[in-house]
Amino acid sequence: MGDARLKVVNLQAGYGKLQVLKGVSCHVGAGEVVALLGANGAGKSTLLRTVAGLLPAVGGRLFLDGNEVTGRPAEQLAALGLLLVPEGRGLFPEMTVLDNLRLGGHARRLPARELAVCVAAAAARYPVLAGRLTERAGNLSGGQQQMLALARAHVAAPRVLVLDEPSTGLAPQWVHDVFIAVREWRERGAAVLLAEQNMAQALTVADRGYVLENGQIVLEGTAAELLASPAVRKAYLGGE
Amino acid sequence: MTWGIAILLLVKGLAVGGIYALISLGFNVIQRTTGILNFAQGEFVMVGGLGAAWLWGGVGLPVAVAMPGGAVLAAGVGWVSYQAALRPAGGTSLTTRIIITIGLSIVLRAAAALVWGTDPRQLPPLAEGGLTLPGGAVLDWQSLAVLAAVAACMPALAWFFRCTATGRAMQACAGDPDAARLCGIRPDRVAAQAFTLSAFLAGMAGVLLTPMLSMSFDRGSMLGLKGFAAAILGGVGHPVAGVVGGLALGILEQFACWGSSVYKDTLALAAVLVLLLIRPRGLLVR
Repeated sequence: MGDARLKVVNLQAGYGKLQVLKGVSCHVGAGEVVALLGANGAGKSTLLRTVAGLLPAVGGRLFLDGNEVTGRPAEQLAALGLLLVPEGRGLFPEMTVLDNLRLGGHARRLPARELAVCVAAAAARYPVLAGRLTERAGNLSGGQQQMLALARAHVAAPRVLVLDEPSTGLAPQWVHDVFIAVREWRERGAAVLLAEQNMAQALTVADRGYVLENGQIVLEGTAAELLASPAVRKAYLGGE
Repeated sequence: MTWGIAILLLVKGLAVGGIYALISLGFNVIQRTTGILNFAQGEFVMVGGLGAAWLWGGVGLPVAVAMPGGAVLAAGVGWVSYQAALRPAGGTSLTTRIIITIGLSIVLRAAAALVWGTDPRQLPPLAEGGLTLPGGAVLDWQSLAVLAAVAACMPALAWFFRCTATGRAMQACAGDPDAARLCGIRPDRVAAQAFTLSAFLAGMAGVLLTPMLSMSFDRGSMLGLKGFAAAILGGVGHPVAGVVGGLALGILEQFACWGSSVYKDTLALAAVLVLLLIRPRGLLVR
């Protein structure tokens, strides 16, 4: 726990007077995939946006590699190797696929030549993009856009990857590709925090998970424990 | 009106319109990246023109150095303006920051009057002589030179936005500020770059305008208004539309001058008013 790559302690945040997160603590280690589960409105996106620095925390602390980064803005956290792929993917629809990929390397301040190498590697890993580099990102299908978001993450090579509902609204074959990518990130040693409504799917890839309800963690455990938990089965997996 | 004169007015209109287009591009760069409607844009134009005239007539530099020098000076003023006036107000509402730019325009005007005096200053023409058109009208090389300079700016600007990391960061900030921050792009830095680039474009416009019309400390607001009118004519938020709007406005003015030059400025503003009434999104947008 001391060497957790991402550690969130008693985090509180919200919008104006509306407090959404009421003290959330969690952690993700290197080479670990952690699922963040919960129904719509449980506070998953708020937690991820606060962790990424887009929303200011009202209380609590945030650590990256054991260093306190509480209150740092998103652009600084990105430079420290934390990447959030937000709901809606955070692409730039008016820009080309290629420029979107190049922006993935912005936080790393790569020289032009190295950036070109990283972009080429990402395009090779996600061949669906290779023939579409000069197209507007907004012209891609939903699945292709999600692949672009993942390919951009490939260029960014983050130490902590935070994915907000990456499989929502996608056709099954794309969902499959998303989870293959998540496994790759684990093998590469990144810390992956994965918010999902689709619990069954998320728990097949995750090592551990947290269940968020009304802005609080109500349950945590290994993927197997969560899958076996009667409360989870009843509430989320449609089991009896 | 003979064909010769029509061609003359058209080319002159394109030249002046190209200058308006530069001002409107500057408006766009700041508006799209920061949301701020910059009321000091015309003052950047004035600083560019007066600065170049001062470098040439006051300091004694050759014209070829003084003219780019004026644009660079304007760019510097743009950067300082952002750092001194707008960056400290980063957390305030957009309206507050827009009003700050009104204050900024007053300060810049007064500073220019103090530093450079209130008399108009001149720059030598870009080129002497002209081309005699059929019908006897003379098209001066000056207008063609301005047109060529403006035409060279557009692809350079397109290259900047497409092929440099700074240009891509500015585009990203314009498209989705939050998503840009997640890519590690610093909004305050991009805003400073936007003010610098925008003031550079405005300064170019001022430098190109001064040999045609001379420049004085108080001409900024009307020029800013012309650039703004160009942006509105084409459609706010669309750089290409602003260029088309600028060219249209320039041509409109020249042909109106042929009737009576008294109504030149009135016409520009009337065109904007009419357009806002019938096509509030601009000529080219949807």
